[in-house]
Amino acid sequence: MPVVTRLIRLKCVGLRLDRSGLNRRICHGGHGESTRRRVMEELSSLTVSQREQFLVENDVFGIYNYFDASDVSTQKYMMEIQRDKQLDYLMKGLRQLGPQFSSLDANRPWLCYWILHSIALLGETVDDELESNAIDFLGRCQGSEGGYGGGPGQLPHLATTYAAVNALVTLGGDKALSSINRWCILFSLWSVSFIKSLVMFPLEYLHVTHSSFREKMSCFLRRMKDTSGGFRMHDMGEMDVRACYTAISVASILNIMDDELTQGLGDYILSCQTYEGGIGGEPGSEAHGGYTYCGLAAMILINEVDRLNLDSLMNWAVHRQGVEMGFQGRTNKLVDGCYTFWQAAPCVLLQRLYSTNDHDVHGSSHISEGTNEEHHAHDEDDLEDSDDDDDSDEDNDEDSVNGHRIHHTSTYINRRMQLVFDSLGLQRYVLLCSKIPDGGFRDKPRKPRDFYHTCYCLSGLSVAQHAWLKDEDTPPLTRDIMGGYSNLLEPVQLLHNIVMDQYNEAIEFFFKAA
Amino acid sequence: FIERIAEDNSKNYQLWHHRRWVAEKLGPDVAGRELEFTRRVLSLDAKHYHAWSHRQWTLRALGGWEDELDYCHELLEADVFNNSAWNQRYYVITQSPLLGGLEAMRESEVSYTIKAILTNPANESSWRYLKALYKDDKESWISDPSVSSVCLNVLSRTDCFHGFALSTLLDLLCDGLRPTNEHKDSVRALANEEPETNLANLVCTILGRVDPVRANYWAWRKSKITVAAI
Repeated sequence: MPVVTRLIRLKCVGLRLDRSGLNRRICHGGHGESTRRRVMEELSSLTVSQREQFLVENDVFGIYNYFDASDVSTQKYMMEIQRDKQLDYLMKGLRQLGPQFSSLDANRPWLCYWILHSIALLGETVDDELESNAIDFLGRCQGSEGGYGGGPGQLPHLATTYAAVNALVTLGGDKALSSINRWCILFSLWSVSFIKSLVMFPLEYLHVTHSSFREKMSCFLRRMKDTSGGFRMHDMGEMDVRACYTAISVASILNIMDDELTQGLGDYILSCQTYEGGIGGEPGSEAHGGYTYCGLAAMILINEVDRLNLDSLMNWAVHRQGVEMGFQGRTNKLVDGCYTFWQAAPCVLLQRLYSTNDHDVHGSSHISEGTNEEHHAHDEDDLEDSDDDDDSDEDNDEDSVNGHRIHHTSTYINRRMQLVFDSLGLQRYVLLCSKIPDGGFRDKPRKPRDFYHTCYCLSGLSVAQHAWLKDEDTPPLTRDIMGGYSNLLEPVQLLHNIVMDQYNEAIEFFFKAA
Repeated sequence: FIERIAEDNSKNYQLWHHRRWVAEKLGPDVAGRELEFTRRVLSLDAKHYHAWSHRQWTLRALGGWEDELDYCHELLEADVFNNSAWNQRYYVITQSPLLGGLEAMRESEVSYTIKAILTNPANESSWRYLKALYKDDKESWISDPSVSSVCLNVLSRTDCFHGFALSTLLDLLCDGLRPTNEHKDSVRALANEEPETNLANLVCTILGRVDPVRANYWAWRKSKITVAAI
């Protein structure tokens, strides 16, 4: 169906860029040839940004309208995450990390992480053989002086180090976690041929290798540190907020953070917050979702987040959600499924930061007003649900004072937060526009699937599903999950994007042997 | 050599880093060449992130600021929604050694931006840029009549998106602007019999309706309004 015809048949499409013109003429202009001609003229008079936005909205609303017009069983099918197909796609990807991916030769640790993390989000694990191969492969990427390169024999790089560490933590278990130790010290002492014949060391030796490994990784991170306070990606490599984040994330999980690493880092990241409120890759660069996540997470990890302008950061981030309900990476750019994670995670992190501050200042009662209908309805439902829950030791009191409802300290209600973005809408975008029923996720309609988008669409979906929760002990409500509880994913640790259980295991491992 | 690889792999980090390394070695003489190179990449993709970073680095390290503001204008003429061009504009007015800095440039930039806003009130880039011109100077921001009047102007129009005008007004109120009757009437004209007496609260309520994607955020903003903003 030609674009113009489909446009005319659509209900008023919210054109973010120009509410006054094009869509109104489409709605009210009738179906004749003159309207068609006018619409075509209008399309060609649009700027590049407007035209691209218009075409994407056309695709996205085409899907939404199709969904809305479908019967219940079709809708149910469209909303399902399709776990089996997703796992097929992911497992095949892991097994075939070979010749097919030669263009990403420098990025195989990333592929390991993207795929393993996606599998973990779905609540699944890989079989022993696959796990062994992954650990073995990542071990061979480890440099003799610390850090991981993109492939065996390649120079260590902060981004691939981050990916390798995250992948190993996601695999979990002593073998994966201690493999970091094992390879590091031995690689520097023994030749390559010895490595394949190594076996598990007794616990005491593990302790020794463990601390030597941490020294090596520490050395690597310190070598990447720049006098300006930031980090370089590799020896004489580029410096940006991404390098800062990957370094601090690794240091934090492995328990090798120190003053030398954090010195001046806050200053550098602060200088990357732009006039728009978001954070750019380098000082002066445009505010961007990926770098905003990196900058915010790093500042939280080094405990300097209050130095950022959080109001303008929050304002910028929430404005990145558009009429398609997915997130864009920058102002006036196009929606992209991967920003589901890069933008929603900062929204949730900021929500939590503000709510912690409020809690300290104002105490624990929550005053509910009938502000707008959606918000109000959600609060009322909270009441009903909390009556059904019997997890609370305290009473669920509900008094009416001066026309406001005051909820006294209720373990359940106080564990839920006020959202600043539209989580259900976001989930809808991911499930209807990004998800491919045959497995995998993509940027937007008409784009092909890939493991990067699969990882970040799933991660973002998990963030959206758990967004209402203040802590990991509270389960989400059924209506928090688009498509029903069968779509529920594992929660992630927001600062590292690792599944919570695996993160906790790693922390116990690396902080215990301190 | 780099340019041939660049054509096919322009999103490759290593390539851009190598280019920077080479240019640094060659010094200010190659400023023109680097600016020309990024201009070519940007002519194919006017928002190319690496190209913009490289362009900013070139200006900073090698110079060539003379024509940069004009270049931004050229891009904005072609596409006023190009946020990268607005970002570059801010970079130039704050960093260029040839210009007087933000405060010196404020008046001319405000007038430039307001023109852009009035032509496309739904363009987020121009509203954010306007606010940026008063960075760290709340007093000027709330007392400059042109800021207030662009909001009122847009709010009085029936055929356009009011969200950015309203949120700008909200920010002004929260920063201490004392609303005039004109402000109050303008906002009330958009209200649907909502019972609010506090103007900032009313603006939040209207925003929840006019900008429904961000309904949760506007409700959250409302809950954060302190008594002083009344």
